[in-house]
Amino acid sequence: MIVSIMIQETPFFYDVIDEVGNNLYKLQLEFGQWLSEIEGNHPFKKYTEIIESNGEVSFAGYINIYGPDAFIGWVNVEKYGEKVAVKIKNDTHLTPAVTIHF
Amino acid sequence: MYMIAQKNIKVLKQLKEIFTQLEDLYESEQNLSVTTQHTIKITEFCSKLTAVLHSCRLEDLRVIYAICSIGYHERGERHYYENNTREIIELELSESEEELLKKHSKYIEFLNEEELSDYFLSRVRLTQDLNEGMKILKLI
Repeated sequence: MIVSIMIQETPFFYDVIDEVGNNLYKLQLEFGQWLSEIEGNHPFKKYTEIIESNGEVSFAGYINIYGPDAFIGWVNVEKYGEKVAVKIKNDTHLTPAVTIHF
Repeated sequence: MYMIAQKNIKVLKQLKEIFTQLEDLYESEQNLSVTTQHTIKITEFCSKLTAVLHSCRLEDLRVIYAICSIGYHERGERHYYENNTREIIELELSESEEELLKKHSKYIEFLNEEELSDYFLSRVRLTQDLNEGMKILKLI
């Protein structure tokens, strides 16, 4: 099943097993929940500080930094333990069965 | 994995050099000073990048990916709103080099050589990540 993950207006296409495609939005929510429970340095997070013009630290903490490939990596490795989703390289004229937005 | 990282120090330095050149070229492209010569140079460096990546085995590409990820995600970033500048924050790290490499290669476990090469070929900026990753792992 072909699915797309949108980053603003740009689609990224993946060929996934039906179970993944049919549950893609649920997996997205589960991924977000899983990520929110992770503490410290992680391949999908970055420690960030924002310093305002008056020197005040308006933010200091971890932000989520991930793209569609990271999410798919999580689906394959963490959820299924096998390659159930593959990135599609030549993606012109593809019509996805399912689309989610990041 | 750390032994593979050490074995690839020369490749890592080559990649750093290529990405440094590419970043300069892409930056001058954004400054609208594009010439045919400029475009030829970008193509040349992309070809060099492809050649270096093709010389790597799957395990080499996994480790190189992990080093870049370490360089990005194991460092913090401080943004100064006033002048829109950023600086790197060196965070306290408790994991060993091997543990870091395993952590940062976990989610690419099923990617093949082509998929990993495509990742590097799609990147515009990687010099800082490579540099910081190599520093953290004491490869420079």
